[in-house]
Amino acid sequence: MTHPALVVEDLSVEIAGRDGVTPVLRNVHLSLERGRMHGLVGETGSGKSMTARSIVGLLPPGGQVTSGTVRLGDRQLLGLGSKEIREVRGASIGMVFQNPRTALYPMTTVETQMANVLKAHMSLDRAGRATRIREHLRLVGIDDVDRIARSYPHELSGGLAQRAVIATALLCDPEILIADEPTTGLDTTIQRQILELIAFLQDRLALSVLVITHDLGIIAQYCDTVSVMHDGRVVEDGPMRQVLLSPQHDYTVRLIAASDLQKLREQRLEGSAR
Amino acid sequence: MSGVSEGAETNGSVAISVEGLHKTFPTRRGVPDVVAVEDLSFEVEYGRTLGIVGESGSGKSTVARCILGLTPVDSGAVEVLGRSIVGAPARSLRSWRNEMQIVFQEPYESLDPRYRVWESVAEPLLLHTDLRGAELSTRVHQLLEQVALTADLAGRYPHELSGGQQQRVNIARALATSPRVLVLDEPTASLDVSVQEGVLQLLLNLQRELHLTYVLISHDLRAIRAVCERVAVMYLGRLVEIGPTDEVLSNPEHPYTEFLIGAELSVNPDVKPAASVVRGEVTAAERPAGCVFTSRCPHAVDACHEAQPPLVDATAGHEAACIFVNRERPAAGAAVST
Repeated sequence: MTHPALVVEDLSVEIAGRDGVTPVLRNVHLSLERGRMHGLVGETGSGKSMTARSIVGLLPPGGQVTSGTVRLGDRQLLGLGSKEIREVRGASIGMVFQNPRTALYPMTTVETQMANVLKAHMSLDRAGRATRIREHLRLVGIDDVDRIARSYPHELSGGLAQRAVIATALLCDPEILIADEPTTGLDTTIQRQILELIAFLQDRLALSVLVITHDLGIIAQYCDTVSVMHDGRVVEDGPMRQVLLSPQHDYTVRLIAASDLQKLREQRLEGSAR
Repeated sequence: MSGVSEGAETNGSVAISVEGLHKTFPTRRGVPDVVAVEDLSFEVEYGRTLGIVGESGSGKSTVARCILGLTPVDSGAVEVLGRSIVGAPARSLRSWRNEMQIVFQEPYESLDPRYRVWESVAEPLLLHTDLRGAELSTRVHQLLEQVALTADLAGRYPHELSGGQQQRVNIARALATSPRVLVLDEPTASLDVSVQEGVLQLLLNLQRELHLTYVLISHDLRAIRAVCERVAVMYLGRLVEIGPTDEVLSNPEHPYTEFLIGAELSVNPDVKPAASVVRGEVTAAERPAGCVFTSRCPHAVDACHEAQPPLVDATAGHEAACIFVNRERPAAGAAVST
């Protein structure tokens, strides 16, 4: 078997603040196989976003890695200089975050911001850039590419804005895509469209995807493998079906039970039958 | 505590009645007004919960505000607890507000960051009641107990609380004046799943103890299934389907309701979402002629573009606004009109 696209081992991170040093990640490990989708699931404060930020070298002020390794293919990412890690972020790792409208810079058109990404990472002339931008907008399911390219972020619906963010993330043919809560805040039917798009791109481009979410439904329906995080640790991980259908850790069991609110529904039905 | 007789008297009678509600918001000159709510009618019985489900721009939050008289309506009738909200003077609305309260989505933004927990809970009591001193303090502690917050939290500021605790403080504030109607606008949307369950459980317990009538606004069908006896589905300001929750969500009659259910992602990997994904997106500014769902409906035929179909009975108490209710729908995509 080929070796994984991304491997995180023994990653520990602390944040120094007013009240001293707080450990936020404790010996986190994860492995993303090539061409697969791995889910990192947990609640607020579990460390799932901090793990993503550590991978791409975007820790908040005061954040410090105290142990561990992060390997992208054969490349060690921890300890890279700021210029090198920036190169990795733009070209090897594409990123999609929650709230597409704030992920896009409000003062310039979609085309301008996509062109800036290309200028930083690829040597293309003006016409080459315009072509590539339009190809990528089409790739994410946008039909009227010229109109969207000329639009400012506020002129786009949430779904279109997230498609533009995904197109931007994929501009330089990254090996992996990190999607941090890519559908939180979007409407139910649009959520589904965006997830289907990510699954389509994963397949079409043989992309390895790390999706970070609080929603076990996304894990159950889209991921191949999963890590469950709680309180800065990975409490359980493995193939998705194994983890969701026969969870071993108490926290995973509770998270699954809470997710469909089934207990409350049964209670309501008993109440109304009296 | 509050009489069994009151419960018996009011069971089955109507606490909230909305009839032919219209609300538009003006826009820039030359741009048509945004229709937020159009010809909306429903009733909620005492002690019951109606869920209103819909996506952004469906008008669900506008309905919440109209029920409480927080937003003036263009036309239609709104009656809450036997009083007509439409056209009521601001002073009357203010004095009735102790009986009808609202809980919002953002628990932190809903609290004054400079107030300690007990001050936040005391505030509505100071405004609406004569309780002062020891009596006030007793009532505050009783309310905190009612929402299962321990007394040691009373001295904390909002930022020192978890999201779930903040929302419990908001619920305690809403309960302070002993309301009979509570409008819950996405009360659990920004909470973690394990916390959502606790807050919804609390709301169910309070409803039973205090015989409260709820309108729960949510985009989350799981929350609706968990607490609502009836559900209303809104799309672009229109009520497209209404009925008993389990009936509507297991046998949807409107294609939009079907898509909402189909878009749900089960935590059980063996329960797959619907294979078809509804296309497009819609904004209140682009309102199709005829049925509001035509621009995204795969079953739409010529007649759908002509007029908005009225709500018709599918089964007893279950209505939907689609011309194919009780009729066979053409296959998706087969009925593309010119």
